[in-house]
Amino acid sequence: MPDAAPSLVLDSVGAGYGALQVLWGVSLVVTAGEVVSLIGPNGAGKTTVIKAILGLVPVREGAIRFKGERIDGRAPEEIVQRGVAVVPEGARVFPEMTVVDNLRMGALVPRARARETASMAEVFAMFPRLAERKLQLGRTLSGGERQMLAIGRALMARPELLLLDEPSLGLQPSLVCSIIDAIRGINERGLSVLLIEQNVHFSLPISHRAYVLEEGRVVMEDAGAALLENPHVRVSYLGV
Amino acid sequence: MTFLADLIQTLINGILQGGVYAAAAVGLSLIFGVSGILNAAHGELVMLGAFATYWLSTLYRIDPLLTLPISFGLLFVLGYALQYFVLNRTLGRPLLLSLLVTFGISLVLLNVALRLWSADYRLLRIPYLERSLVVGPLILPLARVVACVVGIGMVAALSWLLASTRLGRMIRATAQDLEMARMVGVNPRTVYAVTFGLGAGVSGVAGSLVALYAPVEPNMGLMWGGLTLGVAQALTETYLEAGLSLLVAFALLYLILRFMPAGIMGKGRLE
Ligand SMILES: Nc1ncnc2c1ncn2[C@@H]1O[C@H](COP(=O)(O)OP(=O)(O)OP(=O)(O)O)[C@@H](O)[C@H]1O
Ligand SMILES: [Mg+2]
Repeated sequence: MPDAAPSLVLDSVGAGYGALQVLWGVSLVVTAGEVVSLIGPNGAGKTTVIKAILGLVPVREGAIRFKGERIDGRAPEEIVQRGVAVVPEGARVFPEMTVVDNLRMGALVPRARARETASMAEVFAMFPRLAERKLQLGRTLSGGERQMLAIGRALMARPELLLLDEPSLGLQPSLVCSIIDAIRGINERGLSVLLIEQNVHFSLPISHRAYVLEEGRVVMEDAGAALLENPHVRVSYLGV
Repeated sequence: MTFLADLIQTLINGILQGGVYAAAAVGLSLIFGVSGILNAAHGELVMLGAFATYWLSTLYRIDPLLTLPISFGLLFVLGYALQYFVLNRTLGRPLLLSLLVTFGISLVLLNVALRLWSADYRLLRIPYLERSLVVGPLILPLARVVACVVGIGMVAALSWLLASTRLGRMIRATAQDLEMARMVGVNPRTVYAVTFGLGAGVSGVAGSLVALYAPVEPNMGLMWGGLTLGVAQALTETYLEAGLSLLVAFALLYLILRFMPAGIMGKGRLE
Protein backbone atom coordinates (compact mmCIF):
# COMPACT_ATOMS: atom_id res chain seq x y z
CA MET A 1 0.00 0.00 0.00
CA PRO A 2 1.22 3.49 -0.77
CA ASP A 3 2.74 5.36 2.13
CA ALA A 4 1.71 8.93 2.78
CA ALA A 5 4.60 11.13 1.57
CA PRO A 6 3.86 12.97 -1.67
CA SER A 7 6.39 12.19 -4.41
CA LEU A 8 5.16 14.59 -7.06
CA VAL A 9 2.89 17.59 -6.60
CA LEU A 10 1.56 19.86 -9.33
CA ASP A 11 -0.02 22.92 -7.80
CA SER A 12 -2.28 24.97 -10.14
CA VAL A 13 0.13 24.64 -13.04
CA GLY A 14 -0.32 26.74 -16.15
CA ALA A 15 1.93 25.98 -19.13
CA GLY A 16 2.02 26.12 -22.90
CA TYR A 17 3.91 26.75 -26.08
CA GLY A 18 4.68 30.36 -26.96
CA ALA A 19 1.43 32.29 -27.06
CA LEU A 20 -0.64 29.09 -26.79
CA GLN A 21 -1.57 28.20 -23.22
CA VAL A 22 -2.34 24.48 -22.97
CA LEU A 23 -2.58 23.73 -19.23
CA TRP A 24 -4.85 25.74 -16.95
CA GLY A 25 -4.49 25.40 -13.20
CA VAL A 26 -3.61 21.72 -13.25
CA SER A 27 -3.26 20.25 -9.76
CA LEU A 28 -2.22 16.67 -9.36
CA VAL A 29 -0.50 14.51 -6.73
CA VAL A 30 1.42 11.26 -6.95
CA THR A 31 1.98 9.83 -3.50
CA ALA A 32 5.08 7.70 -2.99
CA GLY A 33 4.36 4.14 -4.06
CA GLU A 34 1.26 4.98 -6.10
CA VAL A 35 0.33 4.34 -9.70
CA VAL A 36 -1.59 7.39 -10.88
CA SER A 37 -3.21 7.49 -14.31
CA LEU A 38 -3.80 10.57 -16.37
CA ILE A 39 -6.43 10.08 -19.04
CA GLY A 40 -8.04 12.43 -21.51
CA PRO A 41 -8.83 12.88 -25.20
CA ASN A 42 -6.22 13.64 -27.85
CA GLY A 43 -4.89 17.14 -27.53
CA ALA A 44 -6.05 17.51 -23.90
CA GLY A 45 -2.52 18.32 -22.78
CA LYS A 46 -1.39 15.02 -21.22
CA THR A 47 2.01 15.06 -22.89
CA THR A 48 2.35 18.71 -21.98
CA VAL A 49 1.91 17.77 -18.30
CA ILE A 50 4.90 15.45 -18.59
CA LYS A 51 6.93 18.06 -20.45
CA ALA A 52 6.13 20.60 -17.74
CA ILE A 53 7.25 18.17 -15.02
CA LEU A 54 10.51 17.58 -16.89
CA GLY A 55 11.18 21.25 -17.53
CA LEU A 56 10.76 20.91 -21.29
CA VAL A 57 8.00 23.51 -21.41
CA PRO A 58 8.12 26.52 -19.13
CA VAL A 59 5.74 26.60 -16.17
CA ARG A 60 4.02 30.00 -16.21
CA GLU A 61 1.84 29.69 -13.15
CA GLY A 62 1.82 27.50 -10.10
CA ALA A 63 4.52 25.19 -8.82
CA ILE A 64 5.82 21.67 -9.28
CA ARG A 65 7.45 19.84 -6.37
CA PHE A 66 9.30 16.56 -6.34
CA LYS A 67 10.05 15.07 -2.90
CA GLY A 68 9.10 18.41 -1.40
CA GLU A 69 11.48 20.54 -3.50
CA ARG A 70 10.52 22.95 -6.27
CA ILE A 71 11.58 21.64 -9.65
CA ASP A 72 9.74 24.04 -11.95
CA GLY A 73 12.17 26.36 -13.67
CA ARG A 74 14.95 23.76 -13.52
CA ALA A 75 16.61 22.23 -16.59
CA PRO A 76 15.50 18.72 -17.64
CA GLU A 77 18.96 17.24 -17.06
CA GLU A 78 18.86 18.52 -13.49
CA ILE A 79 15.36 17.24 -12.81
CA VAL A 80 16.10 13.69 -13.95
CA GLN A 81 19.17 13.59 -11.70
CA ARG A 82 16.87 13.93 -8.72
CA GLY A 83 15.22 10.62 -9.50
CA VAL A 84 12.61 11.16 -12.21
CA ALA A 85 12.76 9.00 -15.35
CA VAL A 86 10.56 9.08 -18.41
CA VAL A 87 9.28 6.79 -21.13
CA PRO A 88 8.36 9.54 -23.58
CA GLU A 89 5.62 9.54 -26.18
CA GLY A 90 6.82 7.45 -29.12
CA ALA A 91 9.54 5.73 -26.99
CA ARG A 92 12.31 7.78 -28.60
CA VAL A 93 15.03 5.18 -28.39
CA PHE A 94 18.30 6.50 -29.78
CA PRO A 95 18.00 5.28 -33.37
CA GLU A 96 21.67 4.82 -34.23
CA MET A 97 22.60 3.16 -30.96
CA THR A 98 22.51 -0.50 -30.02
CA VAL A 99 20.11 -1.83 -27.39
CA VAL A 100 22.99 -2.05 -24.92
CA ASP A 101 24.15 1.52 -25.57
CA ASN A 102 20.58 2.80 -25.25
CA LEU A 103 20.36 1.12 -21.85
CA ARG A 104 23.74 2.52 -20.82
CA MET A 105 22.47 6.01 -21.68
CA GLY A 106 19.69 5.39 -19.17
CA ALA A 107 22.25 4.88 -16.42
CA LEU A 108 23.98 8.19 -17.08
CA VAL A 109 22.73 9.97 -13.96
CA PRO A 110 25.26 9.75 -11.12
CA ARG A 111 22.86 7.90 -8.81
CA ALA A 112 22.67 5.01 -11.31
CA ARG A 113 26.19 4.69 -12.71
CA ALA A 114 27.66 2.33 -10.16
CA ARG A 115 24.77 -0.11 -10.57
CA GLU A 116 24.77 -0.12 -14.39
CA THR A 117 25.67 -3.79 -14.80
CA ALA A 118 23.18 -5.03 -12.22
CA SER A 119 20.43 -2.80 -13.63
CA MET A 120 21.02 -4.10 -17.13
CA ALA A 121 20.76 -7.71 -15.94
CA GLU A 122 17.42 -6.85 -14.30
CA VAL A 123 16.13 -5.21 -17.48
CA PHE A 124 17.11 -8.23 -19.55
CA ALA A 125 15.39 -10.50 -17.03
CA MET A 126 12.23 -8.40 -17.32
CA PHE A 127 12.35 -8.20 -21.15
CA PRO A 128 14.12 -11.28 -22.55
CA ARG A 129 13.41 -10.05 -26.09
CA LEU A 130 15.84 -7.21 -25.50
CA ALA A 131 18.51 -9.63 -24.33
CA GLU A 132 18.22 -11.42 -27.66
CA ARG A 133 18.80 -8.14 -29.50
CA LYS A 134 21.63 -6.58 -27.53
CA LEU A 135 23.61 -5.34 -30.51
CA GLN A 136 20.69 -4.39 -32.74
CA LEU A 137 20.30 -0.70 -33.54
CA GLY A 138 17.36 1.17 -32.01
CA ARG A 139 15.87 2.08 -35.37
CA THR A 140 15.65 -1.57 -36.43
CA LEU A 141 13.51 -2.62 -33.44
CA SER A 142 9.77 -3.28 -33.71
CA GLY A 143 7.33 -0.91 -32.00
CA GLY A 144 6.87 -3.22 -29.02
CA GLU A 145 10.59 -3.74 -28.63
CA ARG A 146 11.13 0.01 -28.71
CA GLN A 147 8.66 0.50 -25.88
CA MET A 148 10.37 -2.24 -23.87
CA LEU A 149 13.73 -0.59 -24.52
CA ALA A 150 12.40 2.81 -23.50
CA ILE A 151 11.04 1.34 -20.26
CA GLY A 152 14.31 -0.47 -19.67
CA ARG A 153 16.27 2.69 -20.33
CA ALA A 154 14.14 4.58 -17.80
CA LEU A 155 14.62 1.84 -15.17
CA MET A 156 18.39 1.97 -15.70
CA ALA A 157 18.27 5.40 -14.04
CA ARG A 158 17.09 3.81 -10.76
CA PRO A 159 14.34 6.41 -10.51
CA GLU A 160 11.90 6.97 -7.67
CA LEU A 161 9.25 8.33 -10.02
CA LEU A 162 8.54 6.94 -13.46
CA LEU A 163 6.60 8.97 -16.04
CA LEU A 164 5.11 6.95 -18.89
CA ASP A 165 3.50 8.59 -21.91
CA GLU A 166 1.40 6.06 -23.83
CA PRO A 167 3.83 3.16 -23.49
CA SER A 168 1.47 0.85 -25.40
CA LEU A 169 0.67 3.13 -28.33
CA GLY A 170 0.12 1.06 -31.47
CA LEU A 171 0.73 -2.30 -29.79
CA GLN A 172 -1.45 -5.40 -30.10
CA PRO A 173 -3.64 -6.15 -27.05
CA SER A 174 -1.46 -8.99 -25.76
CA LEU A 175 1.57 -6.68 -25.73
CA VAL A 176 -0.45 -3.92 -24.05
CA CYS A 177 -1.22 -6.44 -21.33
CA SER A 178 2.39 -7.41 -20.82
CA ILE A 179 3.52 -3.75 -20.72
CA ILE A 180 0.83 -3.00 -18.11
CA ASP A 181 1.94 -6.08 -16.13
CA ALA A 182 5.52 -4.82 -16.28
CA ILE A 183 4.41 -1.45 -14.94
CA ARG A 184 2.53 -3.11 -12.10
CA GLY A 185 5.65 -5.13 -11.29
CA ILE A 186 7.80 -2.00 -11.35
CA ASN A 187 5.41 -0.27 -8.96
CA GLU A 188 5.42 -3.26 -6.61
CA ARG A 189 9.17 -2.79 -6.28
CA GLY A 190 8.48 0.63 -4.79
CA LEU A 191 8.50 3.08 -7.71
CA SER A 192 5.86 5.76 -7.99
CA VAL A 193 4.28 5.89 -11.43
CA LEU A 194 2.46 8.55 -13.42
CA LEU A 195 0.89 6.77 -16.37
CA ILE A 196 -0.73 8.20 -19.49
CA GLU A 197 -2.57 5.40 -21.22
CA GLN A 198 -5.40 5.33 -23.74
CA ASN A 199 -6.34 1.73 -23.00
CA VAL A 200 -8.12 2.66 -19.80
CA HIS A 201 -9.66 -0.78 -19.32
CA PHE A 202 -6.08 -2.05 -18.88
CA SER A 203 -4.55 0.88 -17.05
CA LEU A 204 -7.27 1.93 -14.57
CA PRO A 205 -7.44 -1.43 -12.78
CA ILE A 206 -3.74 -1.15 -11.82
CA SER A 207 -4.05 2.56 -10.90
CA HIS A 208 -4.55 3.60 -7.28
CA ARG A 209 -6.00 6.88 -8.49
CA ALA A 210 -6.63 8.62 -11.78
CA TYR A 211 -7.22 12.10 -13.14
CA VAL A 212 -9.23 13.06 -16.19
CA LEU A 213 -7.76 15.94 -18.18
CA GLU A 214 -9.89 17.77 -20.73
CA GLU A 215 -8.88 20.90 -22.62
CA GLY A 216 -5.99 21.46 -20.27
CA ARG A 217 -8.04 21.25 -17.06
CA VAL A 218 -8.47 18.45 -14.52
CA VAL A 219 -12.19 17.68 -14.66
CA MET A 220 -12.33 14.56 -12.52
CA GLU A 221 -10.29 12.64 -9.98
CA ASP A 222 -11.07 9.32 -8.33
CA ALA A 223 -9.79 5.86 -7.47
CA GLY A 224 -8.84 3.96 -10.62
CA ALA A 225 -11.48 1.27 -10.25
CA ALA A 226 -14.17 3.85 -9.45
CA LEU A 227 -13.41 5.90 -12.57
CA LEU A 228 -13.75 2.77 -14.66
CA GLU A 229 -17.38 2.61 -13.49
CA ASN A 230 -17.99 6.31 -14.09
CA PRO A 231 -20.61 6.90 -16.83
CA HIS A 232 -18.72 9.85 -18.37
CA VAL A 233 -15.49 7.86 -18.55
CA ARG A 234 -17.29 4.81 -19.92
CA VAL A 235 -18.86 6.83 -22.71
CA SER A 236 -15.82 8.93 -23.58
CA TYR A 237 -12.96 6.47 -23.15
CA LEU A 238 -14.46 3.02 -23.41
CA GLY A 239 -17.09 3.79 -26.04
CA VAL A 240 -19.84 2.00 -24.09
CA MET B 1 60.72 10.52 -68.01
CA THR B 2 61.23 13.18 -65.37
CA PHE B 3 57.71 14.39 -66.11
CA LEU B 4 56.34 10.93 -65.35
CA ALA B 5 58.47 10.64 -62.22
CA ASP B 6 57.27 14.05 -61.06
CA LEU B 7 53.70 13.08 -61.70
CA ILE B 8 54.04 9.87 -59.71
CA GLN B 9 55.73 11.73 -56.87
CA THR B 10 52.94 14.31 -56.83
CA LEU B 11 50.39 11.52 -56.67
CA ILE B 12 52.21 9.86 -53.78
CA ASN B 13 52.39 13.12 -51.88
CA GLY B 14 48.70 13.58 -52.51
CA ILE B 15 47.86 10.16 -51.19
CA LEU B 16 50.01 10.71 -48.10
CA GLN B 17 48.31 14.07 -47.67
CA GLY B 18 45.02 12.15 -47.47
CA GLY B 19 45.69 11.07 -43.91
CA VAL B 20 46.21 14.69 -42.89
CA TYR B 21 43.08 15.78 -44.77
CA ALA B 22 41.08 13.16 -42.91
CA ALA B 23 42.40 14.43 -39.59
CA ALA B 24 41.72 18.04 -40.54
CA ALA B 25 38.21 17.27 -41.76
CA VAL B 26 37.02 15.00 -38.96
CA GLY B 27 36.90 17.86 -36.48
CA LEU B 28 34.79 20.00 -38.79
CA SER B 29 32.37 17.15 -39.41
CA LEU B 30 32.12 16.20 -35.73
CA ILE B 31 31.16 19.73 -34.73
CA PHE B 32 28.66 20.08 -37.55
CA GLY B 33 27.12 16.68 -36.92
CA VAL B 34 26.64 17.20 -33.20
CA SER B 35 26.03 20.92 -32.75
CA GLY B 36 24.86 21.92 -36.23
CA ILE B 37 27.55 24.57 -36.35
CA LEU B 38 29.46 25.04 -39.57
CA ASN B 39 32.71 26.26 -38.13
CA ALA B 40 34.04 28.96 -40.43
CA ALA B 41 37.08 29.31 -38.14
CA HIS B 42 38.06 25.73 -38.81
CA GLY B 43 41.01 26.56 -41.04
CA GLU B 44 42.32 29.00 -38.44
CA LEU B 45 42.31 26.23 -35.82
CA VAL B 46 44.45 24.14 -38.18
CA MET B 47 46.72 27.16 -38.61
CA LEU B 48 47.02 27.69 -34.83
CA GLY B 49 47.95 24.05 -34.34
CA ALA B 50 50.66 24.40 -36.97
CA PHE B 51 52.04 27.47 -35.24
CA ALA B 52 51.87 25.76 -31.84
CA THR B 53 54.15 23.04 -33.13
CA TYR B 54 56.40 25.51 -34.94
CA TRP B 55 56.96 27.77 -31.94
CA LEU B 56 57.14 25.05 -29.30
CA SER B 57 59.89 23.29 -31.19
CA THR B 58 61.66 26.47 -32.33
CA LEU B 59 61.58 28.40 -29.07
CA TYR B 60 61.56 25.61 -26.48
CA ARG B 61 63.40 22.94 -28.45
CA ILE B 62 60.61 20.42 -27.88
CA ASP B 63 60.70 17.53 -30.32
CA PRO B 64 58.04 18.34 -32.96
CA LEU B 65 56.33 14.99 -32.50
CA LEU B 66 56.06 15.62 -28.76
CA THR B 67 54.33 18.92 -29.45
CA LEU B 68 51.33 17.08 -30.93
CA PRO B 69 49.63 16.37 -27.59
CA ILE B 70 50.38 19.92 -26.44
CA SER B 71 48.86 21.29 -29.63
CA PHE B 72 45.78 19.12 -28.98
CA GLY B 73 45.52 20.37 -25.40
CA LEU B 74 45.86 24.05 -26.30
CA LEU B 75 43.30 23.86 -29.09
CA PHE B 76 40.95 21.76 -26.95
CA VAL B 77 40.90 24.48 -24.30
CA LEU B 78 40.41 27.21 -26.91
CA GLY B 79 37.59 25.28 -28.62
CA TYR B 80 35.88 24.43 -25.34
CA ALA B 81 35.97 28.06 -24.26
CA LEU B 82 34.74 29.37 -27.61
CA GLN B 83 31.74 27.07 -27.51
CA TYR B 84 31.01 27.51 -23.83
CA PHE B 85 31.27 31.28 -23.66
CA VAL B 86 30.40 32.35 -27.19
CA LEU B 87 28.71 29.76 -29.38
CA ASN B 88 26.40 28.36 -26.70
CA ARG B 89 24.68 31.73 -26.83
CA THR B 90 23.61 30.97 -30.41
CA LEU B 91 21.81 27.73 -29.40
CA GLY B 92 18.25 27.60 -30.65
CA ARG B 93 18.88 30.50 -33.03
CA PRO B 94 19.03 30.22 -36.83
CA LEU B 95 22.09 28.33 -38.04
CA LEU B 96 23.20 31.34 -40.01
CA LEU B 97 23.98 33.11 -36.75
CA SER B 98 26.52 30.51 -35.67
CA LEU B 99 28.10 30.69 -39.12
CA LEU B 100 28.46 34.45 -38.83
CA VAL B 101 29.84 34.19 -35.30
CA THR B 102 32.45 31.61 -36.28
CA PHE B 103 33.27 33.73 -39.31
CA GLY B 104 33.95 36.62 -36.96
CA ILE B 105 36.11 34.35 -34.79
CA SER B 106 38.10 33.33 -37.86
CA LEU B 107 38.79 36.96 -38.75
CA VAL B 108 39.97 37.67 -35.22
CA LEU B 109 42.24 34.62 -35.10
CA LEU B 110 43.67 35.37 -38.53
CA ASN B 111 44.42 38.97 -37.72
CA VAL B 112 45.92 38.18 -34.34
CA ALA B 113 48.17 35.64 -36.04
CA LEU B 114 49.19 38.16 -38.68
CA ARG B 115 49.98 40.77 -36.03
CA LEU B 116 51.99 38.37 -33.89
CA TRP B 117 53.80 36.42 -36.55
CA SER B 118 53.50 38.42 -39.81
CA ALA B 119 52.62 36.77 -43.11
CA ASP B 120 56.06 35.15 -43.40
CA TYR B 121 56.45 31.51 -44.36
CA ARG B 122 58.22 29.50 -41.67
CA LEU B 123 59.53 26.00 -42.22
CA LEU B 124 60.53 23.66 -39.41
CA ARG B 125 63.82 21.84 -39.82
CA ILE B 126 63.48 18.31 -38.49
CA PRO B 127 66.62 16.44 -39.52
CA TYR B 128 65.44 12.98 -38.50
CA LEU B 129 62.32 13.34 -40.65
CA GLU B 130 64.12 14.64 -43.69
CA ARG B 131 64.99 11.19 -44.92
CA SER B 132 62.88 9.28 -47.39
CA LEU B 133 61.76 5.70 -47.59
CA VAL B 134 62.61 4.22 -50.96
CA VAL B 135 60.29 1.47 -52.09
CA GLY B 136 61.37 0.30 -55.55
CA PRO B 137 61.04 3.32 -57.82
CA LEU B 138 58.93 5.21 -55.25
CA ILE B 139 60.27 7.79 -52.86
CA LEU B 140 58.22 8.28 -49.70
CA PRO B 141 59.29 11.37 -47.72
CA LEU B 142 59.41 10.23 -44.10
CA ALA B 143 57.83 13.40 -42.70
CA ARG B 144 54.78 12.92 -44.91
CA VAL B 145 54.53 9.23 -44.09
CA VAL B 146 54.60 10.01 -40.36
CA ALA B 147 52.01 12.77 -40.76
CA CYS B 148 49.73 10.44 -42.72
CA VAL B 149 50.00 7.60 -40.23
CA VAL B 150 49.46 9.84 -37.20
CA GLY B 151 46.52 11.54 -38.93
CA ILE B 152 44.81 8.24 -39.67
CA GLY B 153 45.60 7.04 -36.16
CA MET B 154 43.94 10.10 -34.71
CA VAL B 155 40.79 9.60 -36.79
CA ALA B 156 40.72 5.99 -35.55
CA ALA B 157 41.14 7.15 -31.95
CA LEU B 158 38.29 9.62 -32.30
CA SER B 159 36.06 6.93 -33.80
CA TRP B 160 36.86 4.68 -30.88
CA LEU B 161 36.06 7.43 -28.42
CA LEU B 162 32.69 8.07 -30.06
CA ALA B 163 31.83 4.39 -30.34
CA SER B 164 33.03 2.98 -27.06
CA THR B 165 33.16 5.51 -24.24
CA ARG B 166 30.53 7.11 -22.06
CA LEU B 167 31.52 10.53 -23.39
CA GLY B 168 31.16 9.21 -26.95
CA ARG B 169 27.69 7.87 -26.19
CA MET B 170 26.69 11.23 -24.72
CA ILE B 171 27.90 12.99 -27.85
CA ARG B 172 26.13 10.58 -30.19
CA ALA B 173 22.91 10.69 -28.18
CA THR B 174 22.92 14.49 -28.31
CA ALA B 175 23.40 14.37 -32.08
CA GLN B 176 20.59 11.84 -32.54
CA ASP B 177 17.91 13.25 -30.25
CA LEU B 178 18.80 16.32 -28.23
CA GLU B 179 15.62 16.44 -26.14
CA MET B 180 15.79 12.73 -25.29
CA ALA B 181 19.45 13.09 -24.37
CA ARG B 182 18.47 15.78 -21.88
CA MET B 183 15.75 13.51 -20.50
CA VAL B 184 18.41 10.97 -19.51
CA GLY B 185 20.54 13.64 -17.91
CA VAL B 186 22.86 14.93 -20.63
CA ASN B 187 23.81 18.59 -20.22
CA PRO B 188 23.95 19.70 -23.86
CA ARG B 189 25.97 22.84 -23.18
CA THR B 190 28.79 20.76 -21.75
CA VAL B 191 28.53 18.20 -24.54
CA TYR B 192 28.69 20.95 -27.17
CA ALA B 193 31.70 22.50 -25.47
CA VAL B 194 33.53 19.18 -25.22
CA THR B 195 32.64 18.42 -28.84
CA PHE B 196 34.00 21.74 -30.04
CA GLY B 197 37.08 21.17 -27.88
CA LEU B 198 37.64 17.74 -29.42
CA GLY B 199 37.05 19.05 -32.93
CA ALA B 200 39.41 21.96 -32.38
CA GLY B 201 42.03 19.73 -30.75
CA VAL B 202 42.00 17.26 -33.64
CA SER B 203 42.14 20.12 -36.16
CA GLY B 204 45.08 21.61 -34.27
CA VAL B 205 46.95 18.33 -34.44
CA ALA B 206 46.23 18.20 -38.18
CA GLY B 207 47.90 21.60 -38.42
CA SER B 208 50.83 20.30 -36.38
CA LEU B 209 51.18 17.42 -38.83
CA VAL B 210 51.28 19.85 -41.76
CA ALA B 211 54.04 21.75 -39.97
CA LEU B 212 56.17 18.60 -40.07
CA TYR B 213 56.64 18.89 -43.82
CA ALA B 214 55.29 22.21 -45.09
CA PRO B 215 55.80 25.87 -44.31
CA VAL B 216 53.55 27.53 -41.77
CA GLU B 217 51.87 30.92 -42.28
CA PRO B 218 48.72 32.64 -40.99
CA ASN B 219 46.87 32.49 -44.31
CA MET B 220 47.17 28.71 -44.53
CA GLY B 221 43.84 28.54 -42.68
CA LEU B 222 42.03 29.88 -45.73
CA MET B 223 43.09 26.94 -47.83
CA TRP B 224 42.59 24.34 -45.12
CA GLY B 225 39.13 25.57 -44.25
CA GLY B 226 37.93 25.26 -47.82
CA LEU B 227 39.78 22.06 -48.65
CA THR B 228 38.48 20.09 -45.73
CA LEU B 229 34.82 20.84 -46.41
CA GLY B 230 34.53 18.17 -49.08
CA VAL B 231 36.17 15.53 -46.93
CA ALA B 232 34.14 16.65 -43.92
CA GLN B 233 30.95 16.13 -45.86
CA ALA B 234 31.78 12.50 -46.51
CA LEU B 235 32.85 11.99 -42.90
CA THR B 236 29.73 13.55 -41.47
CA GLU B 237 27.68 11.10 -43.45
CA THR B 238 29.68 8.14 -42.23
CA TYR B 239 29.85 9.14 -38.59
CA LEU B 240 26.72 11.00 -37.72
CA GLU B 241 24.16 10.73 -40.51
CA ALA B 242 23.46 14.43 -40.40
CA GLY B 243 21.56 16.37 -43.01
CA LEU B 244 24.05 16.75 -45.80
CA SER B 245 22.18 18.99 -48.17
CA LEU B 246 22.38 21.58 -45.43
CA LEU B 247 26.12 21.16 -45.27
CA VAL B 248 26.40 21.71 -49.01
CA ALA B 249 24.41 24.91 -48.74
CA PHE B 250 26.55 26.13 -45.90
CA ALA B 251 29.71 25.10 -47.70
CA LEU B 252 28.80 27.42 -50.54
CA LEU B 253 27.98 30.19 -48.14
CA TYR B 254 31.26 29.59 -46.35
CA LEU B 255 33.30 29.75 -49.52
CA ILE B 256 31.56 32.93 -50.60
CA LEU B 257 32.21 34.53 -47.23
CA ARG B 258 35.83 33.48 -47.22
CA PHE B 259 36.83 34.29 -50.74
CA MET B 260 34.38 37.00 -51.70
CA PRO B 261 33.87 38.90 -48.47
CA ALA B 262 32.59 41.89 -50.38
CA GLY B 263 29.69 39.81 -51.68
CA ILE B 264 29.16 37.82 -54.83
CA MET B 265 28.80 40.96 -56.92
CA GLY B 266 31.69 42.63 -55.15
CA LYS B 267 29.48 45.52 -54.17
CA GLY B 268 29.24 45.01 -50.43
CA ARG B 269 31.90 46.30 -48.13
CA LEU B 270 33.62 44.71 -45.21
CA GLU B 271 35.38 46.77 -42.52
N1 LIG C 1 5.53 21.78 -29.55
C1 LIG C 1 4.30 22.32 -29.59
N2 LIG C 1 4.12 23.55 -30.08
C2 LIG C 1 2.88 24.11 -30.13
N3 LIG C 1 1.78 23.50 -29.70
C3 LIG C 1 1.89 22.25 -29.21
C4 LIG C 1 3.15 21.60 -29.13
N4 LIG C 1 2.97 20.38 -28.61
C5 LIG C 1 1.65 20.27 -28.36
N5 LIG C 1 1.01 21.39 -28.72
C6 LIG C 1 -0.44 21.62 -28.59
O1 LIG C 1 -0.79 21.49 -27.23
C7 LIG C 1 -2.03 20.81 -27.11
C8 LIG C 1 -1.86 19.64 -26.17
O2 LIG C 1 -0.96 18.73 -26.74
P1 LIG C 1 -0.45 17.42 -26.00
O3 LIG C 1 0.58 16.80 -26.86
O4 LIG C 1 -0.08 17.76 -24.62
O5 LIG C 1 -1.79 16.54 -25.98
P2 LIG C 1 -2.00 15.05 -25.52
O6 LIG C 1 -3.06 15.06 -24.49
O7 LIG C 1 -0.73 14.43 -25.16
O8 LIG C 1 -2.58 14.41 -26.85
P3 LIG C 1 -2.38 12.94 -27.47
O9 LIG C 1 -3.35 12.04 -26.76
O10 LIG C 1 -2.75 13.10 -28.89
O11 LIG C 1 -0.96 12.55 -27.27
C9 LIG C 1 -2.47 20.44 -28.50
O12 LIG C 1 -3.44 21.38 -28.90
C10 LIG C 1 -1.23 20.57 -29.33
O13 LIG C 1 -1.54 20.99 -30.64
MG1 LIG D 1 0.41 12.94 -25.94
